[in-house]
Amino acid sequence: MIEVVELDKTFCMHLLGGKEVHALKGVTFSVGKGEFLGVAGRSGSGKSTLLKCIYRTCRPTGGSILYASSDGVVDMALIPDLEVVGVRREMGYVTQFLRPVPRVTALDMVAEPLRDRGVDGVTARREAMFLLDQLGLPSSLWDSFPVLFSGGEQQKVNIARALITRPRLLLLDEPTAALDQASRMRVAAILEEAKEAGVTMIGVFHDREMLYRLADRVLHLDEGKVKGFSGKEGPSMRGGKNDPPHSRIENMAPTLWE
Amino acid sequence: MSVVLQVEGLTKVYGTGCPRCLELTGDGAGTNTCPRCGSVVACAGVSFEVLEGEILGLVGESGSGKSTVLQCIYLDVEATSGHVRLRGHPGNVLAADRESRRELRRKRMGMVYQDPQRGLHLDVTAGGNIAERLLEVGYRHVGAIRTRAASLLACTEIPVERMDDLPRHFSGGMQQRVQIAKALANNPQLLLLDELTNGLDVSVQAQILDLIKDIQRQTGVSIVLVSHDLRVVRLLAHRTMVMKNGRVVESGLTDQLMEDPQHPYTQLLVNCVL
Repeated sequence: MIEVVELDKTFCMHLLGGKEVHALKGVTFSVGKGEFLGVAGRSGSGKSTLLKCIYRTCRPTGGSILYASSDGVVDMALIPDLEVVGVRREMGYVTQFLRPVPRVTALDMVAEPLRDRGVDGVTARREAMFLLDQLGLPSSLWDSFPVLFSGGEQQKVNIARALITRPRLLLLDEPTAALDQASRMRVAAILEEAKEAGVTMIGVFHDREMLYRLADRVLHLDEGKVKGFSGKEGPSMRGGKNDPPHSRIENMAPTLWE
Repeated sequence: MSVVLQVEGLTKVYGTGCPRCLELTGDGAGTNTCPRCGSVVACAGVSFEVLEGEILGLVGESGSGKSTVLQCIYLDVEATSGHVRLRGHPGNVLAADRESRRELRRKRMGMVYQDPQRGLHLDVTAGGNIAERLLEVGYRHVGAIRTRAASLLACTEIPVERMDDLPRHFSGGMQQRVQIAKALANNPQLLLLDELTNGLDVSVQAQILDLIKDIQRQTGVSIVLVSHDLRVVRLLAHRTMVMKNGRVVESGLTDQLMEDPQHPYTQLLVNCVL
């Protein structure tokens, strides 16, 4: 479904005298149809940038992202903007944080992607209600503005917005980070349902429980490079022998307080 | 989706011009004034297209040439060179004869100016301003004109009882809404909006922006939106172009431009949003 080859992304910050940040370096992997690929790695390892490149919010510096769209294979790294708009119609993207649109209610925000695809308002809103209900957003909030919501409530709106179009490919950037345990389980159940329906997913999670419950395979990123893959075997696979999970924190603590 | 507006190599030079004007101005030169002959290159080599139902944002600092681009397309200003195609009009809009120019402005395009005084006769009633447009496209029956004007004013949220008042006595936000109603009167396929929320307080700004969003959704009109406010563009535009010193320095999907700006000037703009 997706084949990422030697993907590079460098950010050049002109305001800081042309300082360069290499967010992704030669990232190569592929995702099969209906597969759930988890992405793990420390903060700043390039996980979100990877998703943004696939969605083409970021423009890759090098490499290619071959995506088997319903109209044939396209290279998301190269196709012109107007084509990106078309391909994005079959993708769903849950960003890390919702960007609430001022003066638009939760229900209308969720219904919007469907309405953009030509679905009438009544049907779109009915579908939005169904999803928000499934995600456990209290119905009293449906006609309020998400600008005023808590982080978790906003995230539910965000997830519903991505799911409502029944995308072929779902990109998830920490979809459950802001949610309580019960809500996480709801989201996990919904994503499992989507997977059963054949949706291909790439999901970034810090939460190992979610990661290993949902993912068929996990891609480990470290400083923009692929460090390796682990399978369904679970949390025992985390890190290498030489890199116990908490060593960094333990090493850092003394210098912090000296 | 079909292309409604296609602009190629649009150039406007104010002044006598010389063979080196284009080469000595622009992004690299850091100026839009030709050091050799003193001509001002307001815009040069501007190319883009707007699809049906699309909102294209045009951002840039004051004097970067945004308004000139709109004014050339609306034929307010004679372009120096370039090619503009509008769906349904054969050939280059910029080369149209006088009769077709009038036709293009009356029937195919709508313009909302930054300054309501340019788009409205302030001493003619709000209804009269709209009637002017309607008469141009062949309305003759007074009752029909008033009905249509009333529905346009309702659409832009002007109380219908103010229809016979003078825009001079309206607030800035209301004047802007009358201008929008007037621009929509002929059901244009292309709407050109020039800094339409300038000088309005934030709550009125918000009303106008919501109005534009609603109108776009209901009518499917294509829009070119000029603004120096990135927040306005982020809210409305599907794609955005950035201009500096008369040249387009970067263009892309609006989310790309906000999250991954490439050109130094775009990075500056994004970093300056409050």
